[in-house]
Amino acid sequence: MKQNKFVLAFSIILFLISFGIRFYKLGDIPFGLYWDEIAMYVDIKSLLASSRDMHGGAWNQLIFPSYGDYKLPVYIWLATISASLFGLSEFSFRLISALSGIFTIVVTYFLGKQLFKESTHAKFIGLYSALMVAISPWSVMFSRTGFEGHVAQLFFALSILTLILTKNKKIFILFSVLFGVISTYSYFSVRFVWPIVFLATYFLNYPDLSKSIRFNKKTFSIFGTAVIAFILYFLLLIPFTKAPMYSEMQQFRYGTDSILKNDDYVHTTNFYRQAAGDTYFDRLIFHRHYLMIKELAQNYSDHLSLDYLFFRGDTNLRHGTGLYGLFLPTTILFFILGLYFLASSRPKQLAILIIWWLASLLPASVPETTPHALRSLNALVPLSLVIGYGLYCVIQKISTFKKKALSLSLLVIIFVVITTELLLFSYHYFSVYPTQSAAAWQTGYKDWSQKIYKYRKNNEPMIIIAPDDKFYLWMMAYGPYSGTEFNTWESRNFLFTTFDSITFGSVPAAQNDAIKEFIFALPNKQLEEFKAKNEYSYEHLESLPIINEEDTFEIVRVKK
Amino acid sequence: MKSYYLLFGLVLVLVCALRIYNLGSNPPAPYWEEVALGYDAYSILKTGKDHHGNSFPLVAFESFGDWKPSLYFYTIIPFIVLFDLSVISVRLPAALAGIATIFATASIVLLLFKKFYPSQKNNYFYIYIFALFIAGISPWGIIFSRAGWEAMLATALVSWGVFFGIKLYESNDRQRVYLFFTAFFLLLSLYAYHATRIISPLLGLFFTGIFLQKNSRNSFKNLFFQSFPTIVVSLLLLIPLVSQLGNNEIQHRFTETSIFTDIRIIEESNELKNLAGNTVVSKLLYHRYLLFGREVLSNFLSHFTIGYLFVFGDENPRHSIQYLGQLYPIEIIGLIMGIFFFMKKKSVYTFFLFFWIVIGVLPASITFASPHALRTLATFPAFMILIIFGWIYSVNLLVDSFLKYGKNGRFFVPFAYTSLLLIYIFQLTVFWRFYTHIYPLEHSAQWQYGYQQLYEKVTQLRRHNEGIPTYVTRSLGRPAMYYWFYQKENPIDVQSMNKVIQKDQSEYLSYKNLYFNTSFTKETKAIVALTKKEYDEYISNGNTLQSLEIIVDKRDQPIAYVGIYETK
Repeated sequence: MKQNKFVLAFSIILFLISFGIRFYKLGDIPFGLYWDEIAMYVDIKSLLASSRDMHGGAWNQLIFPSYGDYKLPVYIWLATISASLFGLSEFSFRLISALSGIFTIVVTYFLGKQLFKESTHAKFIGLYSALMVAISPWSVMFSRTGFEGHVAQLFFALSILTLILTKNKKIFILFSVLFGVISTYSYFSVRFVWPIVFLATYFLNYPDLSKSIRFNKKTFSIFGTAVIAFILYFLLLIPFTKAPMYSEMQQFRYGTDSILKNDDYVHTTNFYRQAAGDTYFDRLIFHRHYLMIKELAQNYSDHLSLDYLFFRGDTNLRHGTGLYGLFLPTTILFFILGLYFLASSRPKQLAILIIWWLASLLPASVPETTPHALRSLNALVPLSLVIGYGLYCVIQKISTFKKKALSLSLLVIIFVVITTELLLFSYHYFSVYPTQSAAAWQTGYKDWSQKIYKYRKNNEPMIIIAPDDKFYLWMMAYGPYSGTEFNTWESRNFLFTTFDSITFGSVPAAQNDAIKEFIFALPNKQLEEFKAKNEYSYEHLESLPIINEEDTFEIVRVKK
Repeated sequence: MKSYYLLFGLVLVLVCALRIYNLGSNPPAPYWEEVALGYDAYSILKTGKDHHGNSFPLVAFESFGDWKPSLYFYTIIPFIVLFDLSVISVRLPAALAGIATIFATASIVLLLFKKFYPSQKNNYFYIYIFALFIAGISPWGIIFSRAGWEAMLATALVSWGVFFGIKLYESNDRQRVYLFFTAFFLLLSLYAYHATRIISPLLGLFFTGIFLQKNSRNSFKNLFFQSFPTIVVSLLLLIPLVSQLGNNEIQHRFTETSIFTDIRIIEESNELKNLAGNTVVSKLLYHRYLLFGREVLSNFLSHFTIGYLFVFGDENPRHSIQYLGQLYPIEIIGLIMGIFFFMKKKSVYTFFLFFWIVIGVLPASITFASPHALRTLATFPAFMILIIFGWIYSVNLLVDSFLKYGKNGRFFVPFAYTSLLLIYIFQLTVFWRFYTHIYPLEHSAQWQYGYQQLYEKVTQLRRHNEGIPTYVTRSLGRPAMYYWFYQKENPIDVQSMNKVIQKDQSEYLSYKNLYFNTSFTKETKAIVALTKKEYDEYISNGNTLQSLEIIVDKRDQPIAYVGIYETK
């Protein structure tokens, strides 16, 4: 009874904290939508108005071409629902991610509870793990921005939770597969992670299997279920591979730099072999695959580094705050102790969590930019479970101390330290980080686009040379459009260069004598250059700041 | 019994061969610190003074103004007597120290094994050989045994100090002897390397604490009698060092490499505070001490990444062959199991090993360029002990689980060890093949390869053109020291010029009629040695050098151009 009251009180506080830190100024901080976010935003605007995306594709297509990077559909669909309920805004757009964050906390609680079922305190383990998700800078940051990976991560965890429940009720395996598929349709690299974690968790969940495998009915049904589930998963991915633009998408994805394509390997190994004497043995030990595995190991190492996990985080300011790691600094202690306690008393759970963690790092370790907090987001839940278990063991050990005063004061210290860290992190996130990261979030583009339209009279022609070739997306998002017109406009390779008498990125267009009067928006240096060459009359409308640069973005009216 | 000795002999030969075979020619040439060590030792031997003219420096040698700890210089002297001034003489002390370190490590492993597995008496000797083998073939240990690394000498002293410290804790008799040797080795290591000046005092404190705790019931008089020789030798060894402690020259080294002089962190702190509007919270949260603390922690943790330990190793090619890490890849399992084993044991040694590693990594954490395999070399024995126990523990675990299934697990023991050994032998072969065939070609520039050939040519030209001034570029690094080293220049001549010659941080910029710069065009005739870049620039104006010889490295890439310059 006492235990239940504690759990209830703890859950309420946990809920308030997670809700507060995820919803406070949601949509406003970080300042501004990033490329990928604004592209989805434009698609949603179009979907709401016309049930078609900005290029005229049907709402239920499985690949959204977006600006040529071929986006997956789940986040766009969910955010469209959210926008139809709350109106299209940055808030409704990022709401999906914030809710995913909240649900991840809930799922982590149940995962902890189910995974450590044998423990009498399974609920506490679940609660502490949920707390670790709730206050982890990693989860907080990705809950406040519209990245598909964050939604995928929720469904992934949900899939593993239902998989563990399969032991009680066979039918749950269908849900597990279903959530796995949804996760894959949210973030495509999950297809490499899910099968590994699925198989490992499934079989580790039947501990009697490893002791002696006998070919009886039970064993057969256990194996049979796994095989069917596995096949089902891949069957459900077929629609995706049959979708139009699938091969273009694959081509686009493999275009990024990765350890798989590096011409230096052959060059290096050839030199090594020649130098060593080129015997058969040399060909074996100086092999290009070994160099590739080394690169992979190095990339894994970057993700496994404690420095990255607890102190540095991802240096990309969209994926990290620059000051914090993925988890709060002191939780490193609970992490190390968690690993130790799991290894000594719960090896099965440790195996599941480690496999989950390592498999999640695979999509992040093959490409060249490492460590990558977004691509490895599936590791959030297993790591939180390890830290949560460590915290649980520490609290458990402390409360058995004979000296009650000592144990109480230690518990208070832990509480105070974690609270202080959380407060300091929130302070950093809400006061300094937004300004510091402004450039990374394309802050200012929204303002520019709104100002440009403000000065426009009677649909006069406009020529815009922005520092960013995707600026048209902000014009579409914040311009006076309902969204129905987007798919009537012409695009090339899914990029727009002219619409609604607006031309993007072209100086010759401004010199075209057919246009007598137009609005011209461009950085000040380029404007000065243009002015020096062309003697037109210029009416200065407004100078807008460019973040982190001394230059300004100028809006002028040109008359010839 | 005979098989024990045969095995022991084989491992001993292997351990020594890995350190001594081709010692003079791989690494391909002496690094500039090595020639500096060698020439100063030569100078002490011949004149009792270093090349700057300081007689018998006790704490540190001025050298290139970096004040190198003194012990290594003196250990070279006997080898110069035996083998003359040569690369081998400079490297042999490190090689022998490397071997001594391996024996200390294996001895510590045996001490702990006796404690943790008292029932396995029959295995003691095998465990000792196993430990010798594992520690002896580790790339980390081999690389630093094969050049004049003072840190290897320091590590040997530290590990023997630790061995006697553990003996002191484990045994009840001969306390006086063990205490004496613990103090002696640890104190001596203060003279061997910068980093051990932090590590050894802390280890010393630990063992003092252990000794006092163990003898807490002893009378004061008895205690004094026990520790009297130790106190005497400690005082003797400490006096020179303490008297020099306030000296700027010793501190100079620290300020040069310390991260606390890093202006970027202070700037970052100020920027963050400004962004936050200089509130009270921000002054606390973004305080430079906190940011420095984070930097130290980052540097500290960088020594425990998979990439550094098992994949690529230290970025500096003198500290790692780059093809493998500081340890073999398979040892990731051994290390994890070893850590787990010691955590489970919860003995004083669990604390001690982690303490050893933490304080061993500390000096590298507060200096630039981390992870740093050289500055943390003193933790090498601790890592090896963890790995060796990791393997012992793993094999025992497997045996236990085999016994559970009713099979005869004892047969499994030799099988497990044999397969482990085969994996190790394979890895060693890869390492050795790379180290002997590819490493000298790929990284010879890191070892200033080419000076020997360069000075051979220069001397030949000087012989034929007596009285002509010689100009040698400084771009290859420390040309004066290499000249004296290869010419076995009379130290008295060098010392006599100490006061008159212009120097850059104690490095001579000229010597007799040799000038270590490239402004030879002011002469009418001069012998000249230039790098490729300098030579290309010179000939681009249509100029030429006479009797030109190109010094090439082992991949036939030009290192230097030596010839005679004459005005037209």
